[in-house]
Order: sequence, then structure tokens, then C-alpha cells
Amino acid sequence: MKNAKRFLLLIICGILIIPMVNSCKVGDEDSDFTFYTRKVRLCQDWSFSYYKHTVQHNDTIVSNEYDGSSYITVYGNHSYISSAIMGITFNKKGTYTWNEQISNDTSVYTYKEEGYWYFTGGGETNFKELLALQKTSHTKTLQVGGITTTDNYSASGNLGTTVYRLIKLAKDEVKMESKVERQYIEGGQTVLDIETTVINLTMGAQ
Amino acid sequence: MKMKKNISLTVVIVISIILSSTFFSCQKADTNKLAGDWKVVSLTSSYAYKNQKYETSFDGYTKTYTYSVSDTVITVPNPTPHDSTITYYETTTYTGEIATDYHTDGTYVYTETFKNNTTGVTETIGIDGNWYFTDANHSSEYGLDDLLAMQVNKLSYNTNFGNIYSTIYQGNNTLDIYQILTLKKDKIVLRMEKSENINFITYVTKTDFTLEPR
Repeated sequence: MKNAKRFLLLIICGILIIPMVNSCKVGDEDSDFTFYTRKVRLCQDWSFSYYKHTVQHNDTIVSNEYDGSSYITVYGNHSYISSAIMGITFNKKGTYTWNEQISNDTSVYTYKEEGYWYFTGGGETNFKELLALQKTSHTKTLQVGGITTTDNYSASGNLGTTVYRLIKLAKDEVKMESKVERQYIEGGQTVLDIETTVINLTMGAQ
Repeated sequence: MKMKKNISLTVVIVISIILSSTFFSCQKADTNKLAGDWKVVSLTSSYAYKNQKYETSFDGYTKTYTYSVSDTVITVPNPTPHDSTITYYETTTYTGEIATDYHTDGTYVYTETFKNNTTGVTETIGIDGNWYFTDANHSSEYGLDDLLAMQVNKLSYNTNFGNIYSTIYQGNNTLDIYQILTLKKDKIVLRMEKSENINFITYVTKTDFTLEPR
């Protein structure tokens, strides 16, 4: 009787645990099982190990690619190489800070973005498979030949958000991407705009 | 010995419950609350920057669109010199309807059809998209399901005057964010309120709208 009781309790425990194991795999490359919630996994100081942002307007493509140290801008047949540091911090209270510093022999560019982050999703995606970033401020500065130009943005309220699909969200690595295609007709011609961002993050601030 | 066994079993159960509770952090938001066919019964909207303001009001039947610009601060010499502001108004009225259908599969369809009461031209806007609830955020002070995110996938604009525009989006298009003020079976109230300061120019948007079942 005692053994039967104990067996029954263990089955109840198993039933309580099983749904958690199955339901926590959200992104394609997420592990099958983890003790950490998605919030705990995301909320850390991260360095960019890879970043690629591509903007295509019909046949014209401009891309910026970062491999963890070099930042390469490609525009048509031209390419420019700079050294860079890129990082992002997600705070448990729901804020994030994105920092970039890109420099070469002639210029130094810095970018700081702050805002709120939200997990979202539904429909064809899983809930919490999407990460929405709601930018509340940015400061861009460019120093060239002793002259500094600054671009400022600040905002509040129900701002629009950029949205990324979280492919992998682990304690030591994050992979996410965003791709938006826009097709419309202008002056009888079909116009195609594609913006793609691929981000891989690794543990630790640079 | 018996005591020890009971304690270890209790520990196992407590751990299981704690682990199971983390399951709730993986669950989907309840998508059934919003699903249904709705019509807009009232709407007020304004967009302002610098000295210009665009305002829209709609009572479920008539839409009034007002553009105003305040300009030219002039010195009035008599009787006492003082500055004065002139405000120019332009108002257009329309008759029509706005409908939004939220589906349980996470998609929505928005349609609005309005006839310009002066020109007689009918304009139709159609939007297909996805909708999402957002998770809680301590800093912005919104809980789970407090915000509704809408993602446009296809936008078309037609008139009976021959103008047809259509934009198709694919992928992770930007989300428009609305506060859910009321979410009941027979009434939804949504609000978008934001202020953006871009290089010292402030752009302010305010939109409130109420939906009821069609």
C-alpha cells in the first residue's frame, strides 16, 4: 500500500514535470531541456560574435558585417574595413542597451541605443519565440577630421518595435534574425525592398 | 526512518511543483479573448509636429478629418503692440465604416471604406496582418496581455477613381503597439499614445478607439 502511494506520488511529479520539458523548446536551435527561464537566459551582458545588416533596394545592396572584431561595409564594388566593438545588455526589469564603436584611421563612429524588450509571438510562431525591441533613445556621433556630428532620438509611449525571431536562446549563446520584404508598385514599376539582420551573441561584455 | 522517507517525498513533490510552475512561463497567452468580428464605433486620433496638427474623429458613421497649421506670429501695433498667431483650418468629412476581425490563428483583417462627402470619391483601405500579445515588462509597467502588437503583412488602398496602391510585406515587419484599456466580450478599447523627439523636433501621436461586435 505504501509503495503504491509512493508510486502514485512519483507519477504525479512526473506529470507535473513533463509539460515543462516539452514546452520550453521554442526556437529551432533551443535545447530540449533547461532549468533556466527564457528571461534568465536573455538577461545578461552580451558581445556580438556576428552581425550582418543588409539593405536591398531593387538591385542595389548595402551590407554591414561584423565578425567580432572587424566591421566591413560593402556598397557595390566598394568595401571599407574598420575595427569595432559591439555589445548589448538585456536587463531583467525589461530594458536593453545596445552599444557600438566603429573606428578606422580617419573616423570614429559611436552608437548607443536604449529601450524596452518584450517577448512575444503567436499564430505561426511560438509565444516568446519573437523578441520585440522598442527603442526609446539613440545617440549617434561621428568624428571626422576633428569635427563631430551628432544625431539624437528620444521617445516615449507606445512606440513601434523592431522584431527578431529567436532561433537559439541559451545561457551562453543567442542567435536571432529579422527579415522584412516590402514589395510595392511605383510609377508602373514593381519595387522590392529587403532588410535583413542576423545577430549572434556570445557571453560577456567586451 | 519513516519520517525521513516522508520528508524526502515531500521534497520531491515541492521541487516538482516549483519546476512545473516554470512551465507557465512557457505557456501561450490566451488568444481567445480578442478573437471575433468587430466594428469601430468611435475613434479619435491626432498627430502633431512643429506647428501642424492632423486630427481625425469618427462616431461609427461620420469621419471628420481636420488639418490645422498655426503660423506667422505677427506684431499687432494697435492699440498696444502684441504678438498674434493665425491658425488655418481645413476640414473634410466622410461617411463610412471601419471593421477589424481578429482570428484565433493570430491573423487579423482591417478594412475601412469612406466616401468623401464633398468629392463623392470612395476610398478603401484593407490590411491583412498578424496580431500578438506581448509578455510582461517591469520597466514599462505593462503586464502579460496589456499590449496588443499588430504587424501589417499586406496593405492596399483603392479608390473608385482608379487609384490602386498595394504594398506586400513578408517576414518580421515592425510591430505597432496598442495599450488594451478594455477587453470584454462586447467591447474593446485600444490606445496608442507616443511622443518622438528626432533632432529637437517633437512628433506626438494619440489614438483611441472603441470596438464592438459586428
